Amino acid sequence: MLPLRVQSFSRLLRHTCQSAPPLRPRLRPLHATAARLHGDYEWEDPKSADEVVRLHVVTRDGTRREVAGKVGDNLLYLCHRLRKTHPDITLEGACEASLACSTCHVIVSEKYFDMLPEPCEEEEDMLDEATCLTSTSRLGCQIKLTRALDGIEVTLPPYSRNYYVDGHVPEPH
Amino acid sequence: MLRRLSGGAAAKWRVAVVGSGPAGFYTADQLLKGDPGVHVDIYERLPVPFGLVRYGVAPDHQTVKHVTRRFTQIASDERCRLIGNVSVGMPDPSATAAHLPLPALREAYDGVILSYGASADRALGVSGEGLAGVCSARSFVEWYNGHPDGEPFDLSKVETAVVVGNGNVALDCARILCATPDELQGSDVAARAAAELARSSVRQVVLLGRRAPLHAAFTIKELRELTKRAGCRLTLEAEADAFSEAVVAAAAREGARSRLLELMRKVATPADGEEENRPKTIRLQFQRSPKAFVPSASDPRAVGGVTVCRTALEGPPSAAQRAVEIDGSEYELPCELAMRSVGYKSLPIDGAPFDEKRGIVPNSLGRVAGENGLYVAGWLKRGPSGVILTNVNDAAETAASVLEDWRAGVLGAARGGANAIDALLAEQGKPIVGFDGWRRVDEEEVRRGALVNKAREKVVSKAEMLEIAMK
Repeated sequence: MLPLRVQSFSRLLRHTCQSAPPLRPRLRPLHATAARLHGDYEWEDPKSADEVVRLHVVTRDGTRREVAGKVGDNLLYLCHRLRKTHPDITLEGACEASLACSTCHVIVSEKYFDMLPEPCEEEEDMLDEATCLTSTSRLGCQIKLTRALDGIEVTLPPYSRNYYVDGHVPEPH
Repeated sequence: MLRRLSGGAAAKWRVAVVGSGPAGFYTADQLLKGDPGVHVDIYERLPVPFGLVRYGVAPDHQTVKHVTRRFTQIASDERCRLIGNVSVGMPDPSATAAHLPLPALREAYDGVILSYGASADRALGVSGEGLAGVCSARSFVEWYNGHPDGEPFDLSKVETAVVVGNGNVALDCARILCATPDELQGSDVAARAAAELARSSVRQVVLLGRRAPLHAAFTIKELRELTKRAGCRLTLEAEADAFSEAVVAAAAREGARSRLLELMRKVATPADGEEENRPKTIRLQFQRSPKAFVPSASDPRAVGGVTVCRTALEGPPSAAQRAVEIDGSEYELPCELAMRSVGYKSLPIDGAPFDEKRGIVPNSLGRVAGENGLYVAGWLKRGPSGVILTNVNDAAETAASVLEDWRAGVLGAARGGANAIDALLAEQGKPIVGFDGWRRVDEEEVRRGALVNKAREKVVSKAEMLEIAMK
């Protein structure tokens, strides 16, 4: 029996985006996902139809894109490839999947979020810095596509426009 | 020499970015991706690019510095140039860099984006701040990061160092002060700092926070890192109610603060049998405010301690609580080194408005108030806080404003063009460093680093940087 983790409950307490799915505790086995460091693999085409994983990417302005990757693809590097054909699929990976930034923050649809291995502590720590955090937030660099994830929907959080944290109201130009 | 505008014919409009830190590079990136007809010149005061990624991010946080590979990719676009060793606005006091006044830049470009960051720091305004041994965290960071303007530090007689402040910079300073040579292996700590740290006599670093753990400005990753140091013990001293139910509830209202608060609570209550005999200690002390720096008994010009006043928090627990000093609670904390780490501060530039109170260029979505074709990004736009992600979002906003104005036909008033600037620079006869020049410095630093088991050995003097860059 694994001990309950503080992190799991604390996700309940996080700020949420307006479109966030309802919050509930998540208790799953610990699992740290090993990150790929290069992204070359994502540029290989699938060898068979069996390998294809379809996904829906909701871009930062809310447009829904139907795209495809393959089993084993790292979502961050797949998005870098997809950007060539879909310029609005913009996902940074400033630290190159080394869990030192939160620039590849994505929001995963609830059904598929539950299928992902539990985030490790380092990932949770970086998610704490993300804007527009939800209870189904993950770092794209920690998501590896599997067959089971076929049909997954990931949302790129909108670029925040809320920089006036001190109550300052911007004047129109 | 400067790379000529390749595809000059294709460039329909030109933007200058002032400052080559994350805000500058990310804004350039968004512009280049947003319009095939734009050409972007990134100006940098130093002979080398990347701003705080090179000179702010701690040397033992190499993974954060991976982002320079992205910046390199951006600079490799043939529609983008780095123009290094050029100071925009203020002339370079060391007279190493060429100088361009902002109005000249605005004449030559359709749009100018100010992203030169925060190059000064906030003072505490208490007595004794001028004593030897009292410094800004910025100067310490610049020292260990090999900034050409860094002042020397002597750690051979320091037993206790006090850091006033509660942000990630304060934690960086504490961590570096307590780092063992092993912990700095593979880093790019400046050679001068590595040597001094090796003979340091620092036994403890005390961090003073005016408010409570609920209000700490550092992030969880940086705090957790300190809990995992082999040669260094971390303690946390706060008031009895620092982790009360009301505080926990307030943290829950503050988004991602819950896990950070929980980690601090754990640090505050170490388990029995916790290793106590580590050589160094970092002590996080809360609800304490520095009243004065006092001279040492043996040397009246040097700091010998800090007069610390305890504080009380007004109102129920919340992020907005204020600390008030408790009269008569003062005590003296002896120390041989004291740093203030209470925030960076942007400086104004001639030719652009500046909000002294907020320390920013007043703007709306990155458009400088009352100006046409002038924009701002990064810390100069929103104040000196935030992580790299904040810059990505912020750059997207400013770039969107620039692109929108270009498409609306509001821009396009550039008269001088590229040639006017090239002539102004040529007149001054200073070496101008392009990205190729930086690559030569980069390669040399990495080569030197490999010889001593470091990610790179930074070239510290501007003269040497220029010598390598201009080969």
